[in-house]
Amino acid sequence: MAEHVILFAGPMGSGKTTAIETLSDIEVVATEAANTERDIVDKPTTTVALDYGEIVLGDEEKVRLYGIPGQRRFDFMWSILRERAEGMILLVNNDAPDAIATMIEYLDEFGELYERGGVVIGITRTDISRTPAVADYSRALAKARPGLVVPVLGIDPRSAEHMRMALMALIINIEMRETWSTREAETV
Amino acid sequence: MSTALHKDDRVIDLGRAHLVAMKELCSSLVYAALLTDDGFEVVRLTKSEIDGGRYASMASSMQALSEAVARELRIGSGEYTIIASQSGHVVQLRVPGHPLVLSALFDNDETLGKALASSRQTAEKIAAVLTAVP
Amino acid sequence: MSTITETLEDLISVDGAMCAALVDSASGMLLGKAGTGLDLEVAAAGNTEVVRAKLKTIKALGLDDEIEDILISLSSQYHIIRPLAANPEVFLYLVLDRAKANLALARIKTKSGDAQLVL
Repeated sequence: MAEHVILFAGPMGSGKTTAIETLSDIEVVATEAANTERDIVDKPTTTVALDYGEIVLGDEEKVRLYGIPGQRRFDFMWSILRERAEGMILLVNNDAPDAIATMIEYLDEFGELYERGGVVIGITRTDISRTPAVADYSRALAKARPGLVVPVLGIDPRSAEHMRMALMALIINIEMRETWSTREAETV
Repeated sequence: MSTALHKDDRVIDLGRAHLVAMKELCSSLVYAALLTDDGFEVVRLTKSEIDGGRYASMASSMQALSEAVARELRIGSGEYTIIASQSGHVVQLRVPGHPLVLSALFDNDETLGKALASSRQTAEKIAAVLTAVP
Repeated sequence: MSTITETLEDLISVDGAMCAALVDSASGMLLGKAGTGLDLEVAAAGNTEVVRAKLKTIKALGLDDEIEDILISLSSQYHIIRPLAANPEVFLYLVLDRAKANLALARIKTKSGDAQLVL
């Protein structure tokens, strides 16, 4: 069975833990702690180390899912988890202050995952905030980082259908890159 | 809305008092911090070279991972988390009944048993005071 | 030949005994305990420091000698510390209520406990 390791990144409150819970076949290993920053993001708990889940796609792909804590003060965990992953699903919540700038910030932070396998961006909480539009993100991305090919989708991390679609898009991307680089190596 | 623990002067003061008492009873104590579950430092004692804010985040991650492992293995709630290294031990444990963690670094001048016992006693004392006057 | 549990249970059967422990002085941690009355985890760690301090002093005095036992009299308790003859890194620790205890008997009991204990 082919095995993949995918990282879920993005700011606090973007739905990373939820997304992994939606996808995971196993009970998610979570590290939630009482949130003392309710004024910044009003949720009772927050991830302080990592989330871990697993999913088997079809009967051929086993995917390990790792979620980072969103806050920058846990960036030592970002370094640890970034190393393990082949690709990334970057979730940004539409109601975040400066959501587009945040997207670019995380994309830069985890740029090596783009190089290594690929990135898919999911914009969450579009029901809470109607703007920016998903197209605005794509446009801003094309302008700020021309040359990057990154799908941007509006998704609900509670929806199994959305999450599977995003994950499959990423896996296909990763596998295509592997095929190309094998081919390149063969022709040399 | 109640004040977050790491901004509550009463908690900071009593935390500091207990850390000072811990140092008096345990000469091998090099550094100690009281932190919130989500990684904010409430108060710390000595060793100024350590970035307290960063340390508090790391300690909270470690605490969460230890508790996740104990849950996964179904061995009951965690007691201590210990990092035993060449020139010192980090001992960490929850302040029972509160979203707070006590994390302390000891050098090798005294035994691990001393480090564990004094950490446990301090955590229990802090818990008792916090529970008594909410 | 006795086990740790048997030895400690036997020790606390003496008149006035409250609790007892076997302690590894390398780590300051308990190898076994029996009875109640004080926090034995704290006592094990603290008394390890007492033994270490005494050993240091003996060495500093240039004495080529060993500790047989250490007896500490508190106003309401006696504490007996006895490093094992066969394994001085490990010690027996016995706590007695001073009003009810016969110290001489307790010391004899501790000495025979040491002799019989097989780790």
